[in-house]
Amino acid sequence: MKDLTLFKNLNVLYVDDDPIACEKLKKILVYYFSKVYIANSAEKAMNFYKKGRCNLLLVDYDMPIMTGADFLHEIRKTNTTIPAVIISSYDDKEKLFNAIELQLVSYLVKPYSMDELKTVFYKVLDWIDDKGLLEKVLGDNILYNYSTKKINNNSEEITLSPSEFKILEILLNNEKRLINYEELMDSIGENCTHKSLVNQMHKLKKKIGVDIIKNVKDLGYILSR
Amino acid sequence: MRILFVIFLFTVWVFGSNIIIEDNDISYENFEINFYQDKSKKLSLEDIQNIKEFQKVNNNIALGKQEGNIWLHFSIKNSTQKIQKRVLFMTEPNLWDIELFIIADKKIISTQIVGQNILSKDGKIASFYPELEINLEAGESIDIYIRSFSPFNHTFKVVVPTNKDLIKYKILKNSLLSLYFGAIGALLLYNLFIYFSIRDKNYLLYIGFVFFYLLAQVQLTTPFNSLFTSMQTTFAIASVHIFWIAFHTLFSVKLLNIKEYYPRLGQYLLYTGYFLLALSFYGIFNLEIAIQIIHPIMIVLPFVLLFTAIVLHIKKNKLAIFYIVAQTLFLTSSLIFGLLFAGILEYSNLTRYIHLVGSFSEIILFSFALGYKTRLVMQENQKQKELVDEYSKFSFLGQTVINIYHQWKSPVNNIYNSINHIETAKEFNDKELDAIIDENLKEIKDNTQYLKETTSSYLNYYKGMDQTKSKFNLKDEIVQILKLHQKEFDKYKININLECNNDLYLILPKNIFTNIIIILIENNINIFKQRNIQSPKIDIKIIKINDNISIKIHDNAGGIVLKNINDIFEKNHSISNSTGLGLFLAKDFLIPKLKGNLEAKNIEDGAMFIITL
Repeated sequence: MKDLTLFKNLNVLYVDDDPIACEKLKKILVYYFSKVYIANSAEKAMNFYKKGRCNLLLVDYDMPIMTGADFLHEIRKTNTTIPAVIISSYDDKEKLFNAIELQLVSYLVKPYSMDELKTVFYKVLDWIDDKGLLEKVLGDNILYNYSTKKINNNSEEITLSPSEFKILEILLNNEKRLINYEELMDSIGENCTHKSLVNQMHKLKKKIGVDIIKNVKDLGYILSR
Repeated sequence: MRILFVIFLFTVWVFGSNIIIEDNDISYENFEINFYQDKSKKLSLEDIQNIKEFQKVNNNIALGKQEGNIWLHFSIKNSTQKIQKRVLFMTEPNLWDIELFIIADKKIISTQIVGQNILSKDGKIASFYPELEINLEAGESIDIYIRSFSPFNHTFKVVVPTNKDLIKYKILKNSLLSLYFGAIGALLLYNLFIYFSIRDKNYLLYIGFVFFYLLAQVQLTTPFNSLFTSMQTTFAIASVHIFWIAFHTLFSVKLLNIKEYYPRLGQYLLYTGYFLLALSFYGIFNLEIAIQIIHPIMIVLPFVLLFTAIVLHIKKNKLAIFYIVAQTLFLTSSLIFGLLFAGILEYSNLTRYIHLVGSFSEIILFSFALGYKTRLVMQENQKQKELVDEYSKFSFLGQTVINIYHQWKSPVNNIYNSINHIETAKEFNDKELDAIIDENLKEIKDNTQYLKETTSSYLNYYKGMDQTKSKFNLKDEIVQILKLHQKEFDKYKININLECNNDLYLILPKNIFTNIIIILIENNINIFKQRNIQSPKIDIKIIKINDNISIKIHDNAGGIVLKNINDIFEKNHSISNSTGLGLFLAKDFLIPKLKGNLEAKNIEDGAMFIITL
């Protein structure tokens, strides 16, 4: 589970009043995230947040008019689960103190190295995991939620059986890799036969609704989105 | 021998003559006097003349407080063959009510009435030395009667000197007193001069103390009261004694810094001092009640002060030793004087005048103490000044580091981001890696260049805290400073409006000047940040009035919200994001070096700092 490639399913919103800093960090973030939104002010960021699907907020603290803390305060009124990270120029205590009630994932002090940034990313992963926010995009408006083990198809929730989500998770975690029958059968249970696997797979494909799982004859299955 | 002596005494008694003049030029300063106390105060001179049961005392009279009239009697006999001239004289000018009679052959030859309580013929108070001429024919004998009345005490010496000796005595006494009062007066003027040069309130209290002491002693020791025509005036003047004690108390408290060691005791003593001061004013109108109130205070207060001084000396108060010595001398001499007036000690020049010596020692020791205290304070100030100087250098270094840090924030962040970008691109095996490296290398170079430039310009400002003057264009310099803060102005959208003629030049230590401007501009930016001002603007207006240049820096951040606007220049008034010393340093450390002035005002919707050079 602790794999940053999971971020490829997530969108990030980065707010910083310094446009150069925005552009630079965006270039890095695009390697990890599905979509990267940048905003130069809290107001613009609020628009992005309301319109688009944001899974992570990276917010610069020190901004004129509306600070990062004010912005997050506003967000927290409606959303208490979205992971948020404050990035600030100083590591002073007063600001950390103000940030307590904002339920931050972590706090990043500028300038930061890639290692520090990654450490924060891992913490975000933990947070997402804890709060049950990890979702994978299976198709247009079709999401799989790791925590609820449900598929969300255009806001319609579809429940999966234990065998089904076990198969799906193995395939999702090994995207674009061929998984042979034995491996899948082992994961479901000892008394699973080839026949019942095919049966389960059929049901699963139906529930997903889009054709992302392919059968490789005589070998196994492969998932590619 | 003893029998002979008794017989001799008996003959003197029988003949009744206390003084027998046997030579021309002899003055009589030690002889016996007959003494009788008329408690009823009803007996007349005739009644007294008939009294036989006199007591024998010597001519030094110190009786303390006595009821009724005191009658003194002695006789003088001229046993020479010539006419003898002498003077009947009493050594005190300020007796209460004294009547002298010279009687020959049961007839009053001459008489005199003097005293503070007596008005003489010219309508003035008869407060002078009792003095009557005596002429004795060969073989003649006279009787002298003195009636003394006083509600306070009977303290004086009766002498019968020759005219020549009396003049000598008077000249000696007057010159000694003049010297004494002159010395005190000189001390007074000297300290007054020091007060006007250093404006230390301690000196004012000292001056008050010495001035009223001087007045009190003049009144007590010289025929000063005979200048006045009414008893009320002399009573009013007598309140200077209370003024003297009041100032003495206040001065003692201040000199010893009692409040610093014992705040409560110090406060109480100060209150006592103020109370005495009020009492002195009251004494001008009603001396008797004032004196009754002051008596118990006067007995306790000096000892409280002395005891406090001893404790403070143990606590290493450097001035206490002066005070202890001075106060001990003063109290001892005053005690002797007091015992004399109470009639316990005998009247002599020592007992009568020692308190003048004691008081003078006190005055002069207090003056030394005051000088020493001033020296200590000055040393302390000097140390403080050096400390502030040193401290300022450090805080300037700190301020410079903070300034550089502010300017470095975004370029350093950019550099990190460039490195991070390359690192990430490599990790993800980006096909464009080479292009990404090139692009970022260029950015790293540009940012490093910027770091170099900001550092050197700030270090230039810091380095130049020396005071070498140079001529510079005012507008250029300010534009330069504003450029340094351009990033922050952009970030917070601060509108800068600079109004300055191109041809204004200053000849000053340039960097001191620029540091003041930097401090003020940074203060503005900080306030904008802190208060989240919507459309911040700074107006800088520079005008030349006569030879003065006035630089007004006006913001719209709502103004200074302190009760006392000038508190903004206090050391502890801090703004976050800085060392909190900026304005304090500007006002107390930098501006004085330019011999200029810096003040703060609230104008319209913001604060205005005005530098005048």
